[in-house]
Amino acid sequence: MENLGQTTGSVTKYIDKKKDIPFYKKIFNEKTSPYWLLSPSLIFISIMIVFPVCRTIYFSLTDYHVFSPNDVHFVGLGNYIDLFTSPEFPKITWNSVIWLVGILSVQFVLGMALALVVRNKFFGRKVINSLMLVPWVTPSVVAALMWAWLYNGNYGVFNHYLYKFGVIDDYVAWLAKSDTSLLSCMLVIIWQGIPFFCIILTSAMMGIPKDLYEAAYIDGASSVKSFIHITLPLIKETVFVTTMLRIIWITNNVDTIVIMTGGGPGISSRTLAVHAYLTAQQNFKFGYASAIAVILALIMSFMAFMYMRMLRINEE
Amino acid sequence: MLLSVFAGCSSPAPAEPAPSESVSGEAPVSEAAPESEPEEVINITVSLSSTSDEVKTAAREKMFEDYNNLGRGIHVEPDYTPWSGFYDKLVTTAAAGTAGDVISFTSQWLPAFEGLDILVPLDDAYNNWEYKDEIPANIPELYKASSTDGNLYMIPRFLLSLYFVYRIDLFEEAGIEKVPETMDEFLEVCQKLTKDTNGDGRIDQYAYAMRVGLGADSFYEFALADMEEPRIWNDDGTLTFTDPDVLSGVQFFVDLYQKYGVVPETAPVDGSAECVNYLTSGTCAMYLTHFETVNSIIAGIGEENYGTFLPPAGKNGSRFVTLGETGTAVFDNGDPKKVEAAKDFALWWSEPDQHEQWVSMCYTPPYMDSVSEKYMDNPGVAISLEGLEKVDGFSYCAFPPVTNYSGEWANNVFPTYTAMVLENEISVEEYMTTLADKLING
Repeated sequence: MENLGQTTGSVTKYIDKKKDIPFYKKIFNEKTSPYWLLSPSLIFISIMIVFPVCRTIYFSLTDYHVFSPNDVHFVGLGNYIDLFTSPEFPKITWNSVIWLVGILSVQFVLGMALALVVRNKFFGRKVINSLMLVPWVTPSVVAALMWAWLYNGNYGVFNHYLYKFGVIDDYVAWLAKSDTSLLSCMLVIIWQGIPFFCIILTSAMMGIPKDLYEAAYIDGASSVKSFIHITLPLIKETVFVTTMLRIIWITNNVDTIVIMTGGGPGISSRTLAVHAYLTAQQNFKFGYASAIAVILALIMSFMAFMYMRMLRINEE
Repeated sequence: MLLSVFAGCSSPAPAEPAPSESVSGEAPVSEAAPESEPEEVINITVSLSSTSDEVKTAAREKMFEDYNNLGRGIHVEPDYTPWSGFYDKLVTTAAAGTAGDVISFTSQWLPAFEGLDILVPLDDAYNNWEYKDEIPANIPELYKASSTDGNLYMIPRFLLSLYFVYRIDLFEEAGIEKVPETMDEFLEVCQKLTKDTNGDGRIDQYAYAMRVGLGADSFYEFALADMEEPRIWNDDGTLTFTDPDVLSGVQFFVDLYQKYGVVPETAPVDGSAECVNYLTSGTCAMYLTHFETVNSIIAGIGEENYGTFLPPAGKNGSRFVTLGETGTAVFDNGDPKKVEAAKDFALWWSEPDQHEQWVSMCYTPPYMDSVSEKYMDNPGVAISLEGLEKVDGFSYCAFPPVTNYSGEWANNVFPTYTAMVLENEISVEEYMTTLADKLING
C-alpha cells in the first residue's frame, strides 16, 4: 500500500508538474519547434512558389487575355492543343533543344578545360582568375547590347576582322539572318557561362588531395588516366550540381535573346522560354503563355529526373 | 490645301467657354489667394514615348512647364518610355491599374484599352471645347469608329503622313538628277545608290533603309502602289491584302531586299533608330518616314542634305500615302479629381498654341486653320502637306487599319512575318494571308 501510495504521489506530482508547464512551452517544445522554425520558410515558399505555380496552371486552362481581364473562360486543354498544333511549335522546340545542348556542352567542355589549366600554379594566375570573372559579372543586358554592336551587320567588329582576314566574303548580318541569329545569341551565353563552370570546377579540383595524383603518377598513370579515374569521380557531385543549375538557367534565359533579336528574325531565335515571354508580354495572351510555361516546366522536371536517374545508375 | 481635303473642316467659330477655362479662372490660384491655405494641387502623370530628338523633347518639356505655370491647381509630370516598349508597357500598366492619367498614343491601339474599362469618354468635354471646330471632322470620326461603343476616347493631337527622306549629297554623287516618280524609277535609283564606295569589293552603301523591326508597319506605300485605286479595305469590309495587285506590290517590296539587294541585310531587325542611323551615317540614302525623325536626321546630315519626295507611283500610276495620327486619352485610375484634371490637360495640349509649337519645332503637318496658314511655306512641313494634297486624290491616302488586334499586329505580327517573308521562309501570298488573318482574328 505504501508503494502504491508512493506511485500515486509521483503520478500526481507529474500531473501537477505538467499543469505548471507554461503555455509557450506547450506549443513551442522539442517536438513542435522544427515545424515552427520551418514555418516562415514554408509560408514564404507557398506565397512565392506554390501559389504562382498553381495560378499559372489555372491560367493555362483559361483564355485569359490582358485586354479582357473580366471576361475569362475555362477552355480546358485548348491552349495546350493550340500550342502543340501551332505551325511554329516544332521550330521553337528545336531551337530550345539546340539552345540548351549547344550552350551547355560547349560551356562545360571549355569551362573544364580552363579549370584544368588554372588549377595549376603559374605566374599571373590570380590576374587570369580575376579577368575570367568579367563575363560572369557583366549584367546580361549590357552583355547583350555589347555583343549586338560587335555583331552589327554594317559596322560590327566581327565583320571587320573576319572580312579583313578573308574568313567571310562579305559582311554578315549575324542577328538579322535566320540561320545565324540563334547561334549568335548562343555565343553570348557561352561566353558568359564559361567562368561559372571554370570557377566551380576549379574549387572542386583544389579539394582533391594531391597524394592521389602522386600515387597514380608513381603507378604510371598518365594525365588523362588521372583525370578520368581521379579527378572526374571526385568532382562528380559538383559537376552534377553545376550542370543542373546551368540547365535551368540556360533554358529559362530570356533577356539575351529578347534584347539581341527579339526572338527573330521571324521566329528563328525563339526558344520556348522566349515564346512564353513574348506571348505574355507582347501578345498579352496570359492563358496561352501559361500553357507554354507549364510545358516548359514539365520538360525541365523530366530532364532533371532523367539526369538524376542516370547519375544514380552510374553510381550503382 | 490639306484642310480643304478634310470634309467638315471650317474656320474657327466662337464657342462656349471650354471647361478648362472654367477650371482655371482668371487668375492663378497661387496669386489670387496668397495668404489663404494653399489649395490642393492635383498631380497627374502623362505617359508618352521618349525620343532621342532633343528639339522634340525640349518642346514637350516646355509645354509641360507652361501648363504647370498656368496655376490651375494641376501639376503635370511626364512619364517617358522608349517607343520600342511603349505599347507593351502601356497595356500592362493599364491592366495593373498603374498607368498614367493622360496617355498619348495612336488610335490603332485604342481597342486594346477598351476591354480594360479604363478609358474615359471625352465626348462632352470635346463638344464643349472652344477649338473643336478647328479640328478636321474626320479625325474624331476615326476615333469614334475605332471604339466599339462609338464614344470619343481621344482628343486629336497631331497628324502625320509618310514620305521618303533622301540624302541630297548621295544622290548627287550617284549622278541622280531627279527623285523617282514611279516604282521603276525608284528601283533604278536604288541600284545606282547601292555601291562599294571605298573599292574594297564590298557593298557599303545601300539605297533604302527598310524598317521592319519592332513597331513598324511601313509597307503600304509599296504594297498598294500597283492598285488602280489604292485602298486598304474593300467595299465588303475585307482587307485588300490578297488582291493580285497588292501581292505584286509586296513582291516588289520583298525583292528590294531579296533580289536586288538594295536594302541592308540587317533590315529584318532594323527599327526606326537603326534606319535613322543608317541615313545619317551614309550607310543608306533613303528612308520612308514622317515628321518625327526630321530633327534627328537634319542634326546628322545638315539641312542642305535633307531631301524629300513622295512615294512613287505603281504600274497604274497611282500612289499611296499612309497617314498617321496621335491623340490623347484619359485613363480612369479611380480618382475623379484626377480624371477632371486629366481632361483639362488633354484639351489644353491640343489647343492652337500648343499645336503651333509642335508644328514649328517638330514639322508636324498642321491641321488647324489658324495654324496651317502660317506654315504653308515651311520646307519641313511642306512635304507632309504635299503628301496629303498632291497624291491623286485624297482617297489614296489612308490611316492604317484599326481592329481589335491592330496594336499587337503593328508591334509584333508585322515585324515577325515581314522578317519571315524577307528571309524567304514564307511566300508573299502566305505572308499577306497571315497578316490579314492576324489583323482581323488576332
